[in-house]
Amino acid sequence: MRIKNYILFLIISSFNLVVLSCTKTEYEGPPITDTSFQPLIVADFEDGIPQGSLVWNQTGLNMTFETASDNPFQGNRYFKMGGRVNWDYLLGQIDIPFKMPEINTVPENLFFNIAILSGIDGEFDSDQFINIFISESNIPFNDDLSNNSADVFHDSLEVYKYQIKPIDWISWNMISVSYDQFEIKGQIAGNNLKNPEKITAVRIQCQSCAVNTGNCSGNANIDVRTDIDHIAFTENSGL
Amino acid sequence: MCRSKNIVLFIALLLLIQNNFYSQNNSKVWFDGLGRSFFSRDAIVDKLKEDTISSRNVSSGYNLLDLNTHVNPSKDIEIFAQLRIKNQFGSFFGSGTNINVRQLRASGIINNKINFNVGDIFLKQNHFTLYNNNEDLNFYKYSILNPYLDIIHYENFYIDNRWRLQGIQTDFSLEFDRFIRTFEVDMFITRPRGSVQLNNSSFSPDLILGGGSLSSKISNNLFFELNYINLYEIPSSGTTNISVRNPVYYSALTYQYKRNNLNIMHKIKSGFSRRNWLLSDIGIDMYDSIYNFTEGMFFEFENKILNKDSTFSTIIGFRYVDPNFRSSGAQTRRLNFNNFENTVYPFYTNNYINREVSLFDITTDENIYNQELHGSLMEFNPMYSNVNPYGLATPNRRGIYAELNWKSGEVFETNLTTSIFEEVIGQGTTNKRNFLSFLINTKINIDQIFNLKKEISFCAFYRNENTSRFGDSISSVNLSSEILNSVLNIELGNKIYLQMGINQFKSTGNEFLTNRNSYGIIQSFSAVSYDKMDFLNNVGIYYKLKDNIYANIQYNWWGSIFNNSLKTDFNYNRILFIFSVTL
Repeated sequence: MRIKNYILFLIISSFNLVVLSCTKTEYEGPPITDTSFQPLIVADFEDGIPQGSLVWNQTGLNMTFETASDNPFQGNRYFKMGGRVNWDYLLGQIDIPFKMPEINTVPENLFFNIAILSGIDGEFDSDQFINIFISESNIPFNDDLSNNSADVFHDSLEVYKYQIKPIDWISWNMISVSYDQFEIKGQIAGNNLKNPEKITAVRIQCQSCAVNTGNCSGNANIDVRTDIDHIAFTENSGL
Repeated sequence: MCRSKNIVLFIALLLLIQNNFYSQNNSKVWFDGLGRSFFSRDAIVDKLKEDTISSRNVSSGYNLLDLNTHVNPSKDIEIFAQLRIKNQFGSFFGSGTNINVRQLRASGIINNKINFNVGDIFLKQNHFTLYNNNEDLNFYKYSILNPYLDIIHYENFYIDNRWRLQGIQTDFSLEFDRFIRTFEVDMFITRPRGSVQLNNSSFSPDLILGGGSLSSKISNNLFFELNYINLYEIPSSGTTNISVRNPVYYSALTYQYKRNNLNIMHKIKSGFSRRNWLLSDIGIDMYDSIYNFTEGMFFEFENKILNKDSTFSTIIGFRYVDPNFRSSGAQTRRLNFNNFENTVYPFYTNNYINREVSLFDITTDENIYNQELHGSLMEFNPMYSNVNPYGLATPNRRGIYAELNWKSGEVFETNLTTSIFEEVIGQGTTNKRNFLSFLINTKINIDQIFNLKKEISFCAFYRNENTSRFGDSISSVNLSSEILNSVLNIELGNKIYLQMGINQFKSTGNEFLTNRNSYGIIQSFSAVSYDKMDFLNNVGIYYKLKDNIYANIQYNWWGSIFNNSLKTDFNYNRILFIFSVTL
């Protein structure tokens, strides 16, 4: 009989615990205010670089390809991309795996947003620019471990490209580009129809005219700076 | 290099078999295993005019032999190795033939007291700590689709809802003559994932799963159980600075007794989980810091009544799972809708678009299933499972459930299951989703009714899931999914059956998908609407040569019909042959 009483006590006390803990009025996630999807964050760098991302940079002077917290666009951290490589256009890049959730939107209504910080001490490299690659390839993100970068951006795959050039401002600037403005990167691959649902990865490349080519306007003594933060997809309008 | 390795393995296998002739006499080596021949041919139905770039038909198949070698060097020790020889159709003279070691395990008993297993082990605790939940649309109990199910489960090591892991496990039990009757201890530590090279200079850390359980029979009526499990990464084994920790604690008290002709059981389960990520060396002053800490509890009270001849049983219970309850071992899904690509006709139409997953793919495609534990909630498709997509440990649920099983001699047996749940807190709105599910599974042995010598049976399965959320026109939800499965079995000759089956799945309505970041925090919602019907109809012959040998040939009609002008229907046929021998 005592065991039964004990069980009854446990049931009642546990039930009370559950009922009391259920008087919650808050909710999870951002509020649902319209049927456009909420911004889909590709990377905000608040907890370092996104899991699975690959960072690569050339050997050069003052190379900064890492997260920092001194001057973020939003939150506490951002990703620095800069330095000086006089012999090549490409300074470095970050490859970010991203699984686009099930969305029903057309490329014209899908916007890619990225905050870019340019300029050091009131000056900027007038030849610096950023390449954005968006991959719709579904091959493994990083199967080949020998190439320092993700495999999904190869020319033979379905990859789309947009170039932000020049980056000629001081401080942060939020850039928003609709997906339909992206061009085919390589040869014809996949269906080349830009299907937002199939997006699997994003690459941000920091580039600048190589001084050694002799084609640049004398930026040999200025470090490139194209720091980035708050990379996100939005629907119907940019951020 | 790989080929020569295979040859060495094969020679070793031959030597082992030769050795068996003398060693079998000493009862030290014995074999069992499985052999299977599989052939399928899928074809586009002519009505599908929009696709002129895909092959009109595709065929594939294989022969395989899984040879289980059991070596007993002493009566208390066994070494187990499962070697697979697989030959894809169309390959000759070793080309396309693979020889793999599929499982390796050493097990035994130390001093007749302590059991141990080292190597590939299959582990399960309970629905809240470690449990390999059934896949979506699991309705195969009496179905013509059972051969598909056998293959999916076998190939993915889904045995008795256990997770296949690599590590060490030990257990022992003690008996007492006062205070308590028995005391059982089980412990394990495994490594679900080793350190993985991410690029030339960075490696992910080892992922470790450890845990244990204590259970005790306090009296003939009262049982007590404690379970603990922890999924964690070891930062020092990799170069990344983020590592997950997810301990889960579980306790249960069971009281059972007999009243008249009934066995009655009451069971209380309760526990809680913690999860966080450790960020090494990037916090203030280079100290480690903890990010995204969450804590959640669960509670379940279940009552079961079973009559003595087991012809009738009923279960009724209440369950509460906190929104922040996270248990990697119990919430990892078999079906991973992330990077989901069908094996058969992954693309279709002249626009070469991805073919959506359908009833056919979930039922037949062994390659879309998951064998790895995940540290955060995996994606799911609410169309196929929305009430409990992560099993009984699905977070943010509270409600009641009931089940009834009834068997009337050899003529009739049925199972009825229903549940009414709601969210504990809303998602994106204070309004909560309500979930209602109903399931009936029935088998009628017609031959028993009419006293026929040959077996004739009819089986039917129906499941309905409804999700609703009241609110404004933007945030309201109304989703309904139904699945109907019916099978007619007619014995034509001695254990030769004609089988006909109809399987249809239909989903209509709207829902919001939650988009979470890599730490499980909801970032946004995506509105989705569904209006589609999947079908998979079959007719075939099933020949059961012996209990362990069967041959099955069947013809399938499968596809999806969308009531959406933006989506294109698809429609295919398949012929399937399976010959399976359990050695």
